[in-house]
Amino acid sequence: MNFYFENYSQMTMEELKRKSKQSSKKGYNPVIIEDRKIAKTWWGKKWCENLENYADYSSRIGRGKRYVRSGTVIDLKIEEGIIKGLVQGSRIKPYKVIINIKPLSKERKDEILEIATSQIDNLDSLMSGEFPEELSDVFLNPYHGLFPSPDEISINCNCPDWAVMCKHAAAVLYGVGARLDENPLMFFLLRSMDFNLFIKKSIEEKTDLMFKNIGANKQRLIPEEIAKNLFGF
Amino acid sequence: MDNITFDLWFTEDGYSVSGGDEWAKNLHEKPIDNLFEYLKSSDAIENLGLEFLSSFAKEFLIKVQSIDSLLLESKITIEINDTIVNQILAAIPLYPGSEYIDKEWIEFIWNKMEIWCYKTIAAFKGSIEACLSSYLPSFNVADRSYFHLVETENEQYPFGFLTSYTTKVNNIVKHMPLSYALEEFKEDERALLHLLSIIFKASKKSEVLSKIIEEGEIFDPTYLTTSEAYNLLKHSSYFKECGIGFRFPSWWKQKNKIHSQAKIGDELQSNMGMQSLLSVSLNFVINDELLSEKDLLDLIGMEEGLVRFKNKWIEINHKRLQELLDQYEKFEALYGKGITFSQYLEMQRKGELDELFEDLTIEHGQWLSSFKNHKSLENKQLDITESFHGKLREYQYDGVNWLYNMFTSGFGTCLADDMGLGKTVQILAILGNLFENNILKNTLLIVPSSLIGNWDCEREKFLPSLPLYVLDKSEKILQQFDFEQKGLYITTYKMASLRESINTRFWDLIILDEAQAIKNPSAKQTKVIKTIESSRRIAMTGTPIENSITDLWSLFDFINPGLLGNKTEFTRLMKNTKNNPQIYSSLREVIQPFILRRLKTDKTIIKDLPKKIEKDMYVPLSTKQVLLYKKLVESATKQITEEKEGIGKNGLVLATILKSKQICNHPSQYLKGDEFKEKDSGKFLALKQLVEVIKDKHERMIVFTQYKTMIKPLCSYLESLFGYEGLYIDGGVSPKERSARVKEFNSDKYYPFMVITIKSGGTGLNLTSANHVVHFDRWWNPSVENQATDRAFRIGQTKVVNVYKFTCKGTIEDKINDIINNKKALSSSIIGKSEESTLSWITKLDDTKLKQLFAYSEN
Repeated sequence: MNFYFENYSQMTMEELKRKSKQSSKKGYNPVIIEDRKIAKTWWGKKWCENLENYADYSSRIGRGKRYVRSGTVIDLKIEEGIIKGLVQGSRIKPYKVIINIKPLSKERKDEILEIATSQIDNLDSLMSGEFPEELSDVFLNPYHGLFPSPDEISINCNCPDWAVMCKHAAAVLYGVGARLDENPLMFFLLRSMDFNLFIKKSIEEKTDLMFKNIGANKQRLIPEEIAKNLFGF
Repeated sequence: MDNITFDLWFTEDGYSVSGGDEWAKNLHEKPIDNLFEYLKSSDAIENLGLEFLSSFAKEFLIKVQSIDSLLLESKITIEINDTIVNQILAAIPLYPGSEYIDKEWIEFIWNKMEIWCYKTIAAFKGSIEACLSSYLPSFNVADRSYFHLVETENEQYPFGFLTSYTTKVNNIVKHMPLSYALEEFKEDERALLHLLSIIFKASKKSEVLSKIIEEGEIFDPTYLTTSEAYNLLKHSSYFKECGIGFRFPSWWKQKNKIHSQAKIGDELQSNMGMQSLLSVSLNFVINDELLSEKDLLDLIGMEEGLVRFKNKWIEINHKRLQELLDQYEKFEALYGKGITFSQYLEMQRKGELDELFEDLTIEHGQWLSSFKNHKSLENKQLDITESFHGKLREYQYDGVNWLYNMFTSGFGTCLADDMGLGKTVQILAILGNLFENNILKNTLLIVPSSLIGNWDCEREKFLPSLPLYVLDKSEKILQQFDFEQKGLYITTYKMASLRESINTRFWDLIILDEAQAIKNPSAKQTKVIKTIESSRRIAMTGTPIENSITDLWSLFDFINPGLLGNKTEFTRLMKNTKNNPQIYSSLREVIQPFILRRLKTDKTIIKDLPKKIEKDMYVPLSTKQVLLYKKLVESATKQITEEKEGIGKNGLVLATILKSKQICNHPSQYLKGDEFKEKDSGKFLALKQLVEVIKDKHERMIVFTQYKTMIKPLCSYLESLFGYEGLYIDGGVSPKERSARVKEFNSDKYYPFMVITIKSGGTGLNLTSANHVVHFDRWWNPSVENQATDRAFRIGQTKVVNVYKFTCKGTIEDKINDIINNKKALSSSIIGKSEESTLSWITKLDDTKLKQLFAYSEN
């Protein structure tokens, strides 16, 4: 393994970039980090902090960061409960990284649903790509948060590194952080939760509230003819 | 974007950019497109003009953002209103060309932005919001929900409330009640969620709104009590923050609420200039109506909330009323007795008036508003004295009337009319009156040396009865001078700063011509000139004095010292303009009454003005020129008297004329030297005076000379003055190259000048981009000169053309010019095609006459 290590350290970022470029194909969805920071939003940053908990060897973390910055994650797909990545390493053929995440238990889903729908404008922010900080508990709460705990996540890579979280897997997880930045709704997808359910429930609640007493105050209702004159439409 | 320096200046119909890198070039070629592109980029360039344009463009986007139907309508109209115009007007910086910016200018640019907006939205694949948000990050189209609050005729429920949202019904954008949305968005839950979330967010702070929601009244038009309506109104700004358009009755608008109003300057007590007292009165106002003391007491006695008062709803807010009363007392104690004019102007300049008290509006009284608009202070209609031998144009008469009134009220003034509008004539007219009425005894006129001759000529023509004394001698001689004589004493800036017998004397009036000469406040000359004591001061300048903050300060430090505060104070104030562009408008308010600047482009002026203004410029010779000239004349006349009549003598006469003309142009032309020093030629110095103004206005000039040898020296001299390259055409330029240069000169790129030999370019060329023509030396043939002038003065010319004919005072140039100007006395046949034939009559003169013609006359 000494040999492997030395070989690795000789790969400069330029070489990695060049190689990754050569391996990229049509239909791939590469992770491109343009800024110095991998994630810019508070939730993206939290994800990146959190993923360090999965590392069995902390040295792989720094290398993973370097890898993702060099554009080695040439393909990343996030699906329900599963992350699939292709990472360009020292050999010609890219390594395959598969990360499985267990779905949330029904109880935990309900709890999250409860919190998220309590404020309708928070849902609206989520849909427009903003994760309101008021909802940070939804992620970070160790008991019912969205972040997978180390035993809810299983990491596989076909590289020869014996570490469970090798630099390739770390690069993929950082790539996920960058993706979440753009679309926080992916958190729900990762944990096999249907976001539309949130919307449905929230609308139901609100419209129920609005309709519950409709027509109760009859004497306060402005008759249509008068209203037309008053409001002009 | 590199920081390669570029010049940006406002023009009559927009703005121009010159120099700089690729980016600046693009900005010049597509000013509107690239202005918006600039907003997109995060780079900020330090340039007052660009900052102004950016904030204009932002105002535009903010207006677009406020349009109700923006999300739905592809064809929107973006209308400008007076509030926006005034906001933009108030932020005009002190910057080259800012004098062109008026309401019309703003509307013109707005229109261009509108076209840009349609084009950009049409070309963008995506929502309007996404398209425009890249230009204005805060861009956020009002969401489609609206609250409507109206008055009803129901006594129990005097208000009505309705929530609506805008949507397209049969392709027309309409307001619909919220219940309609449940139907419309049945299949689009996200859209519905969005709509609802905004309303719920708005309800967080207003208990009345949450009650309306909970009680199921949000879907239908609902009656409200007065206190419910008051609660909603008080949350109007929060609703807006949530993205809801709130429409409420106009009496709720800030300007219609109770506030205090100070009326300043209904009258001015005494004519003591800056020390005169302005009257002040303070009132409470609501809905533009004054409140009596009783009204006010009645209001204080009422309960908080909305109440009916004089048939209108008003807000009673005890805390606010108390504040207003406190303000009143403070104001009364401070200013109730009136304020001095200088105190008022200082407060105005520092913007203190507006910040003095919250909700205090300032009204100009009768006297003050007429003063600010340059109306005659006491509306005296001045009778121009008969000793003035000229006919004033209407605007010139207005100018004289204004000067006279300002003079007698004790204010210093700046006459800053555009070049060619006749500042000298106006000054001579007012001098005529002031001298005749014995208001003035001695007046000091300080001018650049190249203009002494001109003043003398104009005075001779228009006000011959006014004695004129030229002060250009050594201190020793000046000490013997009788300064007790009534009249106009004229001197140069240099003399005025050097000669103690001039600058330690007390004058009734000091006039500065080309007052930009004192624009540098730290120059020694400026400092000395400002110390000369006098009871009144007038500055004349044709340059746009609002181009630079320091120039402006220095000028005002002369005409009305103290008005703009001291220099440090003023500079400090002007540093804040970035955060508070309104400072510019306060400043303008302060300075404008003291400056009279009419532009040739003003509609009221242009109808009064010929399209071409010709002016003889009488230029003095430099010391070196005088020496050479005298030496030449001495030896030539000796030779001429010795020579017998005949061809040899004719040749001798013509050669002498040629040589003297060369000396008049520049000694180095005559001596065939290489170095053309500015100070050696009176004409070069005169050219410099012209260039200063033309450069500041970013206009272009043509210079005609008879001599190919003068092309190069003139080009390099002009280039050094303008800081820009120019072009030239002489006999050596091929026809193909000629037309290329003409095209370039008329193009958008700024070439400030073109030097042309009259033989090679006096006919045929079209140079209408220039509106200044200089005849550097004279051809003696008016029709040839006119033809040359017509290169600029022809179809396609949009500006008034200024023509300057340079003639050296006291030389043969001057004398021949006189004879030709009085050509009625001569047969027209003497004017021939070539210079020789034109001048052939001279060779026929007898020796005595020839001697007179060549002799240099000092005065």
